[in-house]
Amino acid sequence: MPILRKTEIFEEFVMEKKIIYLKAEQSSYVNHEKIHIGDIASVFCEDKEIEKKIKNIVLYEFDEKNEKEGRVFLSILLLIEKISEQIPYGEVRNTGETDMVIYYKAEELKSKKWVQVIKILFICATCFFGAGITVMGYNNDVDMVKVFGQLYKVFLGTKPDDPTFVELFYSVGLALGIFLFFNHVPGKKVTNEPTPIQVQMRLYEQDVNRTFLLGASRKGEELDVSGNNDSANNK
Amino acid sequence: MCLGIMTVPIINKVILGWVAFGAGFAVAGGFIAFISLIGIVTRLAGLTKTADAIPTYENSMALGLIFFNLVSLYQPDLQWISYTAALSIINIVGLFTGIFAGCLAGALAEVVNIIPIFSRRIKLRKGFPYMVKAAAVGKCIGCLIQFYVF
Repeated sequence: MPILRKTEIFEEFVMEKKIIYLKAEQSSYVNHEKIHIGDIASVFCEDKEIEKKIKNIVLYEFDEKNEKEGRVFLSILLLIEKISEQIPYGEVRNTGETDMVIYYKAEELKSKKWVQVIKILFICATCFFGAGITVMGYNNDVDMVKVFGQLYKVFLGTKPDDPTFVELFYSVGLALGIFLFFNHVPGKKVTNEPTPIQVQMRLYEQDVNRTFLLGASRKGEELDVSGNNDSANNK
Repeated sequence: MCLGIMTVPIINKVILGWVAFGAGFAVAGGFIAFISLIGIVTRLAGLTKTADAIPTYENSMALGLIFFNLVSLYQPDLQWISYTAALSIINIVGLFTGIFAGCLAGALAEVVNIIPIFSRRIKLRKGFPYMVKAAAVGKCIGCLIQFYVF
């Protein structure tokens, strides 16, 4: 039965071909000078041997003596090339990003604890005074005191010169609004949801990565399969 | 309609209190939304690589808003503080406020894309760092003229 045999052969061929799933991250941070595929992407393959082998493929090596800090841009094609060199019968399916940026920082360059604390204190002071004086400016700008006087007059008659309970309620409302919006109060940990500024932080990070990658591929700095580097050189 | 406070029904006081409360709520929402959208804290945290401390930054911002709101509305008498201490406090507050206002101005200019659009119109591709420095120096000079000449 020739037809059956054909499908048998075909099935064997399919069995041989290992499907390797990759999920590359847009950005990753490393402390060691050798970048392995396992550092920047998650890998899945039914054959655990192959998976381990792929994770240990070296993509790029930073020169630790000369640069303590650096970044490199990679194209997914480079990963595919390296993988197919090692596993010629594999089929790579990427489910993640196609361009990646890797930030490298030597272990010794990590800033010390007290430097971090000083930085944090500095920004805390900036936020505290900056936001505080801004709200003072706002209150003056819109003449809050006059507004409260008018409100007082409408409901209760002429307002005394001193601040009354109206200002107090305004302040309480302000405080509650802030904590509600930020989703946490001092001393209490953040609950399930990220705060608005944390959301902004992630968005900003993505923008930075995208800008880096766009610039790199325009200038041809992205590490790609050999011969492809200057394909995107038309600025 | 010249009623004394005692003769006014309590309901008026309740309504007034509620109105003031709502005003505070609205102002808080606007403030926080604006500050988070403009991305000052994000940028500062990114620069210093302290994104883990963002909740702390938010707390200090919240406390600053509440504290200085009370100061501006109630204007407490703090003249019992010694002159030198008060002077240094004022100066430090001024410095940090200046940093914050500088960030705010820069962030605002960035949000409305002044420099990218302008440079695209006049087909300029280089010299962005100089533009930023020029803007910073210009702002500093403008501030000095406003405060010390006028």
